[in-house]
Amino acid sequence: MAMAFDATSEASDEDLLVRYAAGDPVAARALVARLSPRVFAVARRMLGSEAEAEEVAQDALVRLWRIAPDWRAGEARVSTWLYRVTVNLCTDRLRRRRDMPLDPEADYADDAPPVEQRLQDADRAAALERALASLPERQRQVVVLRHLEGLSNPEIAEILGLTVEAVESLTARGKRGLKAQLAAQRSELGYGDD
Amino acid sequence: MAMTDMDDAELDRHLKAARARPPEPDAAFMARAMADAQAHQPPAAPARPPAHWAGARARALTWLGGVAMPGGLVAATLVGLWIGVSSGDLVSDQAAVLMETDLGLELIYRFPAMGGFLEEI
Repeated sequence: MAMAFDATSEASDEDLLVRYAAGDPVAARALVARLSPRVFAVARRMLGSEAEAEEVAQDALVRLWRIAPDWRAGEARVSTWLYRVTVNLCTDRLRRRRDMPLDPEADYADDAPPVEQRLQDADRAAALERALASLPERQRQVVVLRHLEGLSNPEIAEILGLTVEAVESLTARGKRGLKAQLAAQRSELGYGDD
Repeated sequence: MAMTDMDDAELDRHLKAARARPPEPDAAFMARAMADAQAHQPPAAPARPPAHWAGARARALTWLGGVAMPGGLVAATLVGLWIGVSSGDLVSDQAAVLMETDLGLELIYRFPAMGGFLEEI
């Protein structure tokens, strides 16, 4: 749904955060509407779990609200800072998950219904989620940020604390891993037919 | 390419389609996010009067002049009185009466040198 134009629609995240810290309720609404879906989407794709993604996204946003009064303009972009916090929180979750037995009731992508029971788009989305989940952590982070969030390599390098060359290398390896994972389901997913 | 291989173009299409349909948070999550934002937001600074009000206040003070500066008016009155007394217009009994009044005490408080003068006349 297209949002109606208002004074906040063209303001930068940084400007809105300054206004938020000054008590502007319009800036608060604009930031929530703009940032919450982005943070949730990244967390959802990295964790593969709706419930965990909500918890991580909520945590990351609360950290932003807390730091807002001390935010120093020009030092970092709000989106970069928020992606970094979100990725780190996801990493913590994934590491803890490795140390714990899987919850059979959780909505991990691996519990998705068989491919035959779903529409093709949903099948492909679920297959991609499973393939992403199979990648090593760093490769998954880079592929999500580069190809699903559309960030540039330099921005990803800043978020993850890597060189641009390392990001490029991780992206290439991540894509090779995805192709290998998806290849086995290629005909079931309808590739080659379209 | 073998039937089971996936090429770069297919993977790019796959990723592009996924990017176009990001997972979306539900309304309950958005409501919680909004509640958090409001709960942590610092209060707005108290509103200041508009600039035209500040200008009107300054003009009013200029117009009132001495009313806005009562200390200056009192000092001027006291100095005038002291000049009158020192010129000999007051006789000694009037000076004694003056010494016992509040005005006399105020004069001595503000102009200590005048205390000795009033006692002399």
